[in-house]
Amino acid sequence: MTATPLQNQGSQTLGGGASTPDAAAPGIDADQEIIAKVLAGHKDSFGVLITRYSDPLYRHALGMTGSPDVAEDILQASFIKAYQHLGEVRGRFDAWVFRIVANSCKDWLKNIRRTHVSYDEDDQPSTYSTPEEEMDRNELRTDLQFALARLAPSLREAFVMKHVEGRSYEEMALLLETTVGALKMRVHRAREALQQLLEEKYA
Amino acid sequence: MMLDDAGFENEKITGREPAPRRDKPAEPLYDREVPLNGTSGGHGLLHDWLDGEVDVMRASEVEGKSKVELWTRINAESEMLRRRVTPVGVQQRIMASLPETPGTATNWWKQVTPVSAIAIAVALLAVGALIIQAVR
Repeated sequence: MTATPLQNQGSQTLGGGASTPDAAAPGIDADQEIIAKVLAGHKDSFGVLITRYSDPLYRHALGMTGSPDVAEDILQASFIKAYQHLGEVRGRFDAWVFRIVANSCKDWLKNIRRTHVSYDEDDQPSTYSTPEEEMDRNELRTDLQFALARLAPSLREAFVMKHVEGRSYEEMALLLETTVGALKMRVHRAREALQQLLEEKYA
Repeated sequence: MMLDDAGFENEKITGREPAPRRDKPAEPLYDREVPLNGTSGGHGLLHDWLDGEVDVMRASEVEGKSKVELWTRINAESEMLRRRVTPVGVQQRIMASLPETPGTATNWWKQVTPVSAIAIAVALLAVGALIIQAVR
């Protein structure tokens, strides 16, 4: 059984409780079996795919949009779309559903170019040790989001996948259907743009 | 300046009107105008370090402590985001909002049977004949 890029993210790279271990070593074959069951009328089986892939997809949408609310909406709409077109899946479900989410994020960015974004709209627990550290990091977080918002969507996407999602260039190439060389160039360009934007204040 | 295959369209070259946007950014997006290695003082080793190919000491020696510290902070922020999980209740909400039956491969041409194709052809011929008769 072959593990999928999204699952590798969930179960290996992400660590720290961010994974979906209940998805118990699934793979492409397992996905195909589930899809067959759903198409045969077992609607509840689709929940397994949601559980398996929602975390990495949510993180991608959050990294791209900067808004937890928007990320939730994109995740929901993408899974509904995937369900409605489930019979059209050819190849890997994880890569297919990833592209639905990625395209939705880019469409959102095209329509609403937000300059103010915040990850603090929800009630995720703070992990800062002191109030000073929290203030300091909140400032960097805000500045980083402003800087990310100024990147072209494809550069932002490459940066988010590499730095936030922690993917290898090979995984990124598989999911985005492009070459490792092109992705390295995008990531490098994104880093240099971010550095230009942030180094005056922080470096 | 190098270009990648990100699919950007240069409006000056194509002559196409840019798509209308709400909330245009005050400043241009960083897409093509970012210098690559060798043109901005050389960030090669910084990228190598960020890609896990050289250690932090080496990157710090060549690129300077301040840049490495900046990226260490950015990476720490990214790590925090990497621990984010789907908020409670979202998965249930998605399940609740699914339609009753999943979609199947329903390209219209796959649903056309030979009989229905013949029926459509006969209907089109009849309509064509009626139109010709009406014109005369």
